[in-house]
Amino acid sequence: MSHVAFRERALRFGPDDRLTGILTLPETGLPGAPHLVLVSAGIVHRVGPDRLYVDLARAVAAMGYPVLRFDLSGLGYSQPATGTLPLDELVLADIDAACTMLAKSYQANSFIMCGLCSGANFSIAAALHDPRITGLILIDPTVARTRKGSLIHLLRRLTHQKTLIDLLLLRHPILHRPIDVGRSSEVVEAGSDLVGGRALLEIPKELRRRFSISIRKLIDQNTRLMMVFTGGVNHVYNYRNQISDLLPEIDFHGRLQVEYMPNTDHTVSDVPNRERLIRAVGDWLNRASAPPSTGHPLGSTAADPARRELLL
Amino acid sequence: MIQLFFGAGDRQLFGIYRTPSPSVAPRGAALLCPPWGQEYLVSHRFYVHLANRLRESGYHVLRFDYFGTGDSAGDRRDGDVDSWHQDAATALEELRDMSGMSQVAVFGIRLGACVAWRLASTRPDVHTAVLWDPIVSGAGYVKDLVETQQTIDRASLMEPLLRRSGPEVLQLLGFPMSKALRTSIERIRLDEFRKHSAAQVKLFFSLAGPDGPALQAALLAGGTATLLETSRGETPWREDEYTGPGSVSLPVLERMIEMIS
Repeated sequence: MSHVAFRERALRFGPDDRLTGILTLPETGLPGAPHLVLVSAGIVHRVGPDRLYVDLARAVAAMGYPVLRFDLSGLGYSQPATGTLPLDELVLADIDAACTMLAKSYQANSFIMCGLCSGANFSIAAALHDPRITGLILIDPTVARTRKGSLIHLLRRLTHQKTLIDLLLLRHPILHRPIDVGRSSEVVEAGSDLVGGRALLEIPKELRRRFSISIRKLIDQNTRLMMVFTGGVNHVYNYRNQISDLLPEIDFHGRLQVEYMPNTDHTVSDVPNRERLIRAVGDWLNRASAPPSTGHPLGSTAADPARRELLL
Repeated sequence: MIQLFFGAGDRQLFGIYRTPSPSVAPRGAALLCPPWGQEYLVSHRFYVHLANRLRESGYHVLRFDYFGTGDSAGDRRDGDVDSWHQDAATALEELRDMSGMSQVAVFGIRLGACVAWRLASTRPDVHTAVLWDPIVSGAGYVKDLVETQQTIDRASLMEPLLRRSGPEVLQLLGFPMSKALRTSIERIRLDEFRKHSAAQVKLFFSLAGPDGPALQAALLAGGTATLLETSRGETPWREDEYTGPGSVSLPVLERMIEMIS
């Protein structure tokens, strides 16, 4: 077996020790490195969808960054909360408990939140409230198409083999229900009170406004952002610089890196793309946690020529 | 609840150990063997609840992850059914050590049921094996997974994941299936269940069909005491397809407690 450059500890923490997690510690840590905290995706327990969080935690720890992946209250091995906090506040309280535990017991002084899907949305909400969080890695956060994206999606679907067959056989759903394209240009906020695509159907203009406010505030408070968009959300995000069209009013000051991965699924389940994601996260972490004197906040070139990242 | 890493240094396994509730007299020990891949994820919640209820019923319970799965060490491409059997044996020893119990009940769903059966058919310290929808044809199981992945790929706008997975690894519902794992699964056949076991085997099938009676006949042919039950209860590994943990059917959960007991 190859040498393992990390070690893992099972922890209990939080109110009444109800939260459980695995802390992956580097064998050789980087001085002053931020701690990475992985936020639950949906209701999958701390191993993450298709074990994504385990792979990320171990690889990132081997690079020198401590990583905590834990179960939110009521998920996995964590006990349910006993109070009456609404879900979004409860998640924020759990994230706060995780950071506080790491600060007290492991001398952590800054944190980077990382999450897939709802985990990304909750990471944004946490960073808006907690100055200890200095960076975010957001994998498929909840966003929406632009008009260009809608057209791309429509064209792809219309020319897709399955669509053509279903249309020929008169069984395509589009033949059996009205088409609603009126909301396609709206943005769905990635924030505290969103669950999946529900918001696509509800007051999207207000959500777009709040999303913009959230991201602008994060940029203004110097939070470093990495956004990853996969082919699993290609019905929503389907071209590389879509984020610029989504948020044209925001100057990111070089604090946002977009990693566009159209050839993998929502959970980055295939091995080559998962390895690519891990390399991208590692490169971003090294740049995002480097002292400002080293130059551009997020650097300007990708170490891996196979990757095509976008710096904004 | 005790979270623990156990086993050999180069093959650390993760487990959750529960002691019996203080309010009930200890009744025994149960080892819970998980299935693999997407079925592992979507049945995880069921296993957590099962462990909780068994504890409340007076059981020492160990739920664990095979090498290369869950919180255990190892890569997703590591492991096969044979090595999982060894992992389960390691977990069984751990449970005996921690609980002080000399006899253990084993439980498994799908591929986990096959692992549980291998324990029951090779060890004298297993007194009961509860097998929920065990795989009786490994080749058929792999074929079903491939067809499901093909269905997903056909609806996708991306290049098919299955086509890109190559000859050594099949990408199936979010998990890479190595050639070694595939081979070990495809070796699972009805004949495997014709071995004699001193344990009592309780089969639980979610759907009426030929697999249950055929498996019962194979077990009886080997001289293994066997009960067969078919239920229309929900199956946690089918409830939510591919996206997250399935629901927990309380009637089925309670029935599992009774069968393990």
